[in-house]
Amino acid sequence: MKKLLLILILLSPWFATAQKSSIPGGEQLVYAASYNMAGLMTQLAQVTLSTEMVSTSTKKLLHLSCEAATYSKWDSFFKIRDSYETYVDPVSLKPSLFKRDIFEGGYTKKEKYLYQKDGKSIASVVSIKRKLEVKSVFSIKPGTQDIVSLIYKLRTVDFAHQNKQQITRFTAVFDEKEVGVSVKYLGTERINAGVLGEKLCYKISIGAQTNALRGTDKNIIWLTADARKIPCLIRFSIPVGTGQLLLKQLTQN
Amino acid sequence: MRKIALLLAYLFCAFSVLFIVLPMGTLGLIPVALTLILSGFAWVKSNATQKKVPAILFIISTTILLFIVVCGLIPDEVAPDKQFEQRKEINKKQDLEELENL
Repeated sequence: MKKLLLILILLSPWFATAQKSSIPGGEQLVYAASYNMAGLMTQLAQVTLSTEMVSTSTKKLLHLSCEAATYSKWDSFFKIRDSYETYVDPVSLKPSLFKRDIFEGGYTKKEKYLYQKDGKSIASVVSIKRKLEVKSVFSIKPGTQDIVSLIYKLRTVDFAHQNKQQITRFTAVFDEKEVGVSVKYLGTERINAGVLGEKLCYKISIGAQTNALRGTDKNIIWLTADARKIPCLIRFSIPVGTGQLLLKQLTQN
Repeated sequence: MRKIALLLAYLFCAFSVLFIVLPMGTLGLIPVALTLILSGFAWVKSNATQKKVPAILFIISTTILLFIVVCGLIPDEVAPDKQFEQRKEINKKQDLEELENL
């Protein structure tokens, strides 16, 4: 009995941290998305990442959402209203339901992924341009994230104890396909973190087995080097150019 | 030389107007700066009777430059989208029902 107590006492700090995710509910991060045109960054859209605790009759879930909307001056040329949402376990960030609803210059697509209880498959419903819904079930590796929960999963990685060039691997599902994602820690850097001013940040390089991202170490996320690990600057390189997302508003309840 | 500078100034001035119509933001500074330089050059190379056209181009491009600077000071905003907001609310209710059944 004493031994059991001792083990419990020794493990108590671990339980305390394991039960608590570093992602708080009621957080809202607003970014200004800019695209590099002829060497000048032109602001095109606003990207909002928000979290909210929700409850069903049996469990509590963390609702993570990512919304992208073009600024009003661009709406008449190419209006974007994209919404990516996921409901995850607040501690493990394991997704239960992922939804994607995009409107990009008249093109629409809706996707819904229901993660099955076995954790090995997803039941999906996809409709493009308001056409018939296509239902399917596809298998996934255990621990596969959706793209929204992956962004938040990044914030739970302990970069403070990682070596430079150390790689952490994830698997994400996008367009009903599993994609390997590598997260390379590049060290710390002091940068202009938008609304947070000048901040010391973890510099992280994102690599994915997809054509959506280009180049080596050209897709970078800077997370504040503190307990909150707020993504304050994101630079990306895609086949049609480069751009960035800079934090312009932060709300935490 | 004066004629070439003037011709290019006309061209970049047209681009400046186009960049304003398309909301290109600070990108419009490139053709405006080129119009200013070229019209200034054409003005210097012009004799007393020819200075009117480059002067007009210079004034137009200065006005466009001021317009871009003022527009740059106005913060960008997302237009409220009632349909999008309503859809979000409906979806949230549906999501919770689905999560209840999981």
